[in-house]
Amino acid sequence: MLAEQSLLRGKAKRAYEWGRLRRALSGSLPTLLVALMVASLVHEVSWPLVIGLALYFASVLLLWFGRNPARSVLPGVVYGLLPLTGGVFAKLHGHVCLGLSCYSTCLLYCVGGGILAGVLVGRLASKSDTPLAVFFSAASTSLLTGAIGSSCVGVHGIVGMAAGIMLGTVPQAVRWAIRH
Amino acid sequence: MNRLADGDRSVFDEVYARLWPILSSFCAKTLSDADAEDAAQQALLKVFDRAPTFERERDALTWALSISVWEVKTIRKRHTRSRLTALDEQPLPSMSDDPEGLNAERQIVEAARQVLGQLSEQDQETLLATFHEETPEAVAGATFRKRRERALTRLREAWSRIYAS
Repeated sequence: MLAEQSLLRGKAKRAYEWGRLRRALSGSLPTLLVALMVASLVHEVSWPLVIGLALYFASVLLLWFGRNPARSVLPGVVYGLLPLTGGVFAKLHGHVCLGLSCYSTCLLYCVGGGILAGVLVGRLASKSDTPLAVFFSAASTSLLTGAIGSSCVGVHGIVGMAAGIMLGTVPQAVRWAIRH
Repeated sequence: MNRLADGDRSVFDEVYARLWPILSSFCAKTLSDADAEDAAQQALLKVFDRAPTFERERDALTWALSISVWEVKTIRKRHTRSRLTALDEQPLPSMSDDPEGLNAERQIVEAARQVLGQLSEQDQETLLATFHEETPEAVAGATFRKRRERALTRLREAWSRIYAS
């Protein structure tokens, strides 16, 4: 009887985890759609799809884990759309000409979008009761989402955007540290 | 259940310990012992499988019991279906295996022959063609239908003349 109960408990646990995983797998599909859209927009498949897959698996892992990290996935992806849009825009209109000289705007868009995303991620984390977990979850998803767009302008776009996210979270981190 | 839906695995054992007795006693009230056990187990597994989709506004017990009701219905349906299949597969009782049945069958055949013998040759041919679901080529369809009607009437009359009294 006890063995049966423990067997059933094991089955129930597996059913629960499998249910969570299924939901995470289907709930993360929009991230792949974002990657596909970017790939079709910039006519470049490899990098956006590779980073899109990484974002998909990160999202699946976080959603499967649950609690605050899972709740931070959607905001993270939404915040990451800022640098993503910047990166795509930089790819399509990558320079500004003033008089005779033209300047590349790639880094400006990527870093600017990254800073904005960083500020929002920091704000989200500082409001949570588990700020570190929320920060890592939201920052990683927004970084990967942003990287889909920034990859179009090369590695320096991704690095610039990541630096922007880190920079953006600093004020909130300092404020949080002072408060605690 | 809300915490479990949120991914808090620490409440799993507590939810399990509370749910299992409720689900098993509910199923035991509506099904036989063996079926109740099956239904309760299936319901429990489904409850945990769907736990991540549990909505906070809902009452957890009602939700879990509605899944159990569904399982009970499924098992009942399965039983009804298997009973029907068993009936379909059961061979019809063969009269020839049964001496009494065989005797009755012989008597009916003899009676039918006797009654048919009372009819004209044309009536006999018409009834035989009807039995084999054939329409003679030489006879028009409408004519054959009329002949059949008349032959059947005469067959009934002959039958009641011999056996009704």
